[in-house]
Amino acid sequence: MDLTELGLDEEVIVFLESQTDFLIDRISQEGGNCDIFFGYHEIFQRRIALKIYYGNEKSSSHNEPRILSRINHENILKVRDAKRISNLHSYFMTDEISGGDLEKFFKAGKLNLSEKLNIIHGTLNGLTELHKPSNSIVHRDLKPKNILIYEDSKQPLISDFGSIKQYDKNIGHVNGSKITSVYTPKEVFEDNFYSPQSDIYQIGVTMFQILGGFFPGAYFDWLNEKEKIKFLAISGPFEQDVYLNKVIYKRVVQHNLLQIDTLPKYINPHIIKVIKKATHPNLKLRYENTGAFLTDLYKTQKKLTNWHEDGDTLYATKSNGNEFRIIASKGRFHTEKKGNAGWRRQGEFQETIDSLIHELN
Amino acid sequence: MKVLGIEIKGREIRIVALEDNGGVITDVTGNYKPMKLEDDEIAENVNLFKNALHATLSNYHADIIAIRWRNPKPVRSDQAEKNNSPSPISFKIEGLIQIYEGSKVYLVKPQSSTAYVKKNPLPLNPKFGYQAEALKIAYYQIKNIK
Repeated sequence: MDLTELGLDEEVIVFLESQTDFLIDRISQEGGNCDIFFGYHEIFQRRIALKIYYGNEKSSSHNEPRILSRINHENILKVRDAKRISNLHSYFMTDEISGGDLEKFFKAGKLNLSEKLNIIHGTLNGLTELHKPSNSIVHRDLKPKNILIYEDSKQPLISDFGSIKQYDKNIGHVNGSKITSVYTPKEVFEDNFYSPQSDIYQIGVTMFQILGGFFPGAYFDWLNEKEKIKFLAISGPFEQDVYLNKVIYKRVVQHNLLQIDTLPKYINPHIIKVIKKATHPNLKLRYENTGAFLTDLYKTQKKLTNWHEDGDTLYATKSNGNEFRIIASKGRFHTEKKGNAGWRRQGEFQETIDSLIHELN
Repeated sequence: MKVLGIEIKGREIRIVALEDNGGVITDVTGNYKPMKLEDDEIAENVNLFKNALHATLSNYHADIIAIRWRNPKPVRSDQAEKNNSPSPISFKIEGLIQIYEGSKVYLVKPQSSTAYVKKNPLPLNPKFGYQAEALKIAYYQIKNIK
């Protein structure tokens, strides 16, 4: 691989070219303060990710490997090695996680409902470790892009600790970070106050997003028609950005950023209640901690009817293993049950899909 | 010093958290609502429940967890304590608490806590009636730390 065309500093190129045991075959230059090199490590005999980041000896950039190295948890990315390359460059090494980040993974349609809830469950499990008093760490930038997934087991790993901050457990909060504003909770917008409950908010937003709620990638698409006209009339990117933040803030405060009715119809009311509670703008009404969130999530996970979509057809597997599908034909819907002889229609045709989903949920 | 008193009632875990600050005991249970292990014949459910339970215990960050002891043998009619035989599910739950590594976990016999509370009346009342036993266990434990 030709490293000279990537705009890397000379000492980074020299370092990478001196690596005889690490065969680089892929590079990610999406990070603001780092480049990530992926490849096969001949001594470890596995694929690894080498993150080269910029920052001098006193820089806070070292916080990420420093904290990652002392945490050992199945839902948190592990650091295998770290080293300073030059005065301004360092690296740390982790495993390459087979499925990549959750954003790409769920958008590829690789997950059913049960797997999505399990991912939220596992992420909360990792977050419990960060929040425990001996660590007292808030992540401050939790979103699908910062959660990695193993392709086979679908086990999630919290990653990208570039925004983490340790808080005094007697005070219980720190300042907010410059995080993506659709994941920003009310308390950060209003008071620049970030606590473990703010991480919980971000997991709630992530849950809404991966379950299929309306969540456009471009900020402009969050605006309604009237707001779009107003936005386009504003000159200057800074002023436009201020306007966008204002609109998002208003939605967060009014608890209507996440349009719950855009979730797939098979998302049952218990799951919706969990999302609403996790993302509530009022801290007294939001989950107090990961334990309370996990307890309610567990209630939705046991005896869950598992759903997945394939084109226009919805597939449901009940907790007893029985399989169903709902098919649309000529503007009407009907349910079929899978038996030994294949799929067989069950019940009457319906004008709407809602009652059929309700029967299976 | 923080102690969690736990009563396992059937499938339900009742928790009271007490904190001792220089001899002043305060109830720091907060908004905890009893958790229930249901559909425990499905291994995945037990695992999910364990994660939720351990996260709850971790959030409390207690020094000690004291579980109300249950007699694994059937209760004889002539025994002073006329409790029904404990449910087998409760022993499964007890095991899940015992494997939690963040705090020391002890079992406390109800006879000990009841006798102690008789001589040393509780300085606080349970917030909810169902917390009475867990409160006794937590209070006994926090006052008898060796």
